[in-house]
Amino acid sequence: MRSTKPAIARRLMALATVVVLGGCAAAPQVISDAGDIAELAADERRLWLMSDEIDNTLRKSGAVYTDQQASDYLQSLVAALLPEFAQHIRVRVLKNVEANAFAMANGSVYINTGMLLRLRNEAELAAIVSHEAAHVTHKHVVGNVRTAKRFNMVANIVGLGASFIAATSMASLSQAHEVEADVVGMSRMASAGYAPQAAAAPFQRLADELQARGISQAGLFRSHPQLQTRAASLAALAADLPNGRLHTERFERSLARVRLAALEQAVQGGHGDLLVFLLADEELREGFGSAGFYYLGEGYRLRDYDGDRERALRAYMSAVQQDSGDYRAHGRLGLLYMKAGDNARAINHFETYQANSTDAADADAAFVRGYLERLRRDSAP
Amino acid sequence: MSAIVQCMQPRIIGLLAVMLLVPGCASYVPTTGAPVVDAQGGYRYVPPAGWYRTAFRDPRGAQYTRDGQTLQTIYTMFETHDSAFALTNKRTSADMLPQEIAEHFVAELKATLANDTLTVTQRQPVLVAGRQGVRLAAQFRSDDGLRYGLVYYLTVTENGLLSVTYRAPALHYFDRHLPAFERSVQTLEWL
Repeated sequence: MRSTKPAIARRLMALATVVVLGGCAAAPQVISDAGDIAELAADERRLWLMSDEIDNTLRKSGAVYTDQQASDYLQSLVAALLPEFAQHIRVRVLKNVEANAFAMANGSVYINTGMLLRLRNEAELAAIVSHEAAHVTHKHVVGNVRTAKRFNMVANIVGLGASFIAATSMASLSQAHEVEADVVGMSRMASAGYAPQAAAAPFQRLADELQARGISQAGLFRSHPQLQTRAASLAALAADLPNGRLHTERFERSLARVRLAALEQAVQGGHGDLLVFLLADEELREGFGSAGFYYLGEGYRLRDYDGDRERALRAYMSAVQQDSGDYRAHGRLGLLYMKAGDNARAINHFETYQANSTDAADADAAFVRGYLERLRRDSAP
Repeated sequence: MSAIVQCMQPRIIGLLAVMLLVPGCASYVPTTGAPVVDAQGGYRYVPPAGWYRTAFRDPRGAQYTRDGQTLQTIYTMFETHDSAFALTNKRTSADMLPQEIAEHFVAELKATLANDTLTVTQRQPVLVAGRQGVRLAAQFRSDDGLRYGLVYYLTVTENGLLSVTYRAPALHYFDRHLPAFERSVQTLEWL
């Protein structure tokens, strides 16, 4: 719960009504590159340098997910969407299960692993990337800071890195900027051959997620439209545009490791309800093969509502039916059967776990050894 | 000679930190090798001799350091079942398996950190004062990139969760004082 509320607040705020959109057809400004930084206005130069510092801080902290295949894929997406800015805009992935993305003045765009996990195809990703890139190309960040300055808020923004990130994230950009980014982003999507109709889907699903997880939007959107409103405005915007491609298979293949890492982060963060919500959806789960069922089982086990142990058991069973060598699912089945007092089944699954465990560093191995010793001792005549 | 000076520098800085802190802060109490009894948690523990017990506002636990809290710290903490994992809205129970304790503990830990850089490097079943428990080793990076090492010993009783924690910067300090921590864990006894 803690992680989702700020994510929603950041992500969903633009009021993209057709009336407002009509006034947002300004031609994109070309951003400066690092070589031109001396020519920038003083405040923009400061922002640029601060953004570079934040890039370094995030990199040094280990918060940036590094995966060459994903990195190449994301940059190729930038090249397809914004060919003239391909050298200026760098998309990186942050290890965070929140559904969030943000852009900074220097052309850095960050997308959380949690956002990539929730998307279904390349067209949806293109919508996020092109939206964030529009904040860069249209200098929304510096515009926002100048606005803030007028309200004597700049001290709060430049004082701390975290506040700065917050200020440059979607939550802090004005609604007009959000609307403009939607319009420009959707235009980029269409030009690159993607289906603009896909842009609305993530917002509708996020609205469904909040409802399913019992998170009220009321407290999150004091000054922003509801998720459904955002989805509707994006759908209206896309209605007159030609359809295009989704590229689901390429998206799933290129980001498979990142999205699995996001599922593991959700487990380690104890976000059982998130895993259940996401992976109960067959369309999303199927993209992960047997791991989809394994993580669904993890979700039920961690959520631990009435009946969740049985649901977890069924999910793990589905995982081993799809892949009999899924040792992690066998390990969990052993655990559940052991807790239920079914020692024979527990021993069977723990032994299958041991026979198939290929990861020498598997953290559960030592526990399973101990369980087996005890179960065999208890089962001995 | 220069190597010796370099080796000494962090130690000297640490000692200076203590010298500055201790005289002005009466709540730094030297440890003598005598056991510290936690009646609420129902255990006794002998912190490493020559360290200091520091001011620790949480009545559920105690904190010890040798050269200053930023350089190396040991915490002992006993939390009741309904309060152990407050941020993740989970509770411990007396029949919880060590593997499950570790899992929920890591989730709670991740919820307390501002960044998501916590990496668990080892989870191992152990006995903690004769009870089934778990030893967790982990690392995380602070916002300025400084890497810290962590070791936790965890176990549950009828009443709650006992955790004994060691934390130190990975560079220089972690390995240096880990043996003293490990020896101190062996002194844990239930009342």
